[in-house]
Amino acid sequence: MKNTLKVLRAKHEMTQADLAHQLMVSRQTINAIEKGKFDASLPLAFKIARLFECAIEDVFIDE
Amino acid sequence: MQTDSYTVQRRIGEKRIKIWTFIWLISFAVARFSNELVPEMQTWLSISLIVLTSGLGIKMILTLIHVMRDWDDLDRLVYYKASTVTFGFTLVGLNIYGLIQTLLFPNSEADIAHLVVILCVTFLLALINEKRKY
Repeated sequence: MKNTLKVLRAKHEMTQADLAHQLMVSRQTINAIEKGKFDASLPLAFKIARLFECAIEDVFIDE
Repeated sequence: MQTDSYTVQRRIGEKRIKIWTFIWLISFAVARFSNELVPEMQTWLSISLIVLTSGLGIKMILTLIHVMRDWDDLDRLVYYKASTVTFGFTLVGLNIYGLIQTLLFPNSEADIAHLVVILCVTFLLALINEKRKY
């Protein structure tokens, strides 16, 4: 599953550490999601979408 | 550091696991060597020590489950994967160990300590391998 997390993070001028802090996860988790090594769970996907004020489909693209 | 909130939370949880593991280990050691410490050990005291060690063991497991609820998705996934590998490896290892014992060394007795060591080493290696992937 592809995602636009890195782009959204850059738009909001956030570092991986900032985003990890906001979502209460480790920086490694953010890095793994951005690199596509790990798919976020549904609750985490909702948290990300809520944080960036967009739909889940805007963050995660099912390919 | 910004990630400190999660890291701090995780460290607090890990500290709780360490404390309960240490308490359980002490109780297990006392129960295990009670016969040597007290020459004329009463049966009721032995049973009490077994019950106490079992209770503390359950508390240790429950603490681990409780602490894991606060972990993030990736940490939990790594732990689950390592646990699955360990379970499979232990199951196969246990049967092969039994087979070797029966076929090659019928006069010797199986030692549970060997299996505990295999289990711990397997879990540690599986955990390192999974952490490395991410």
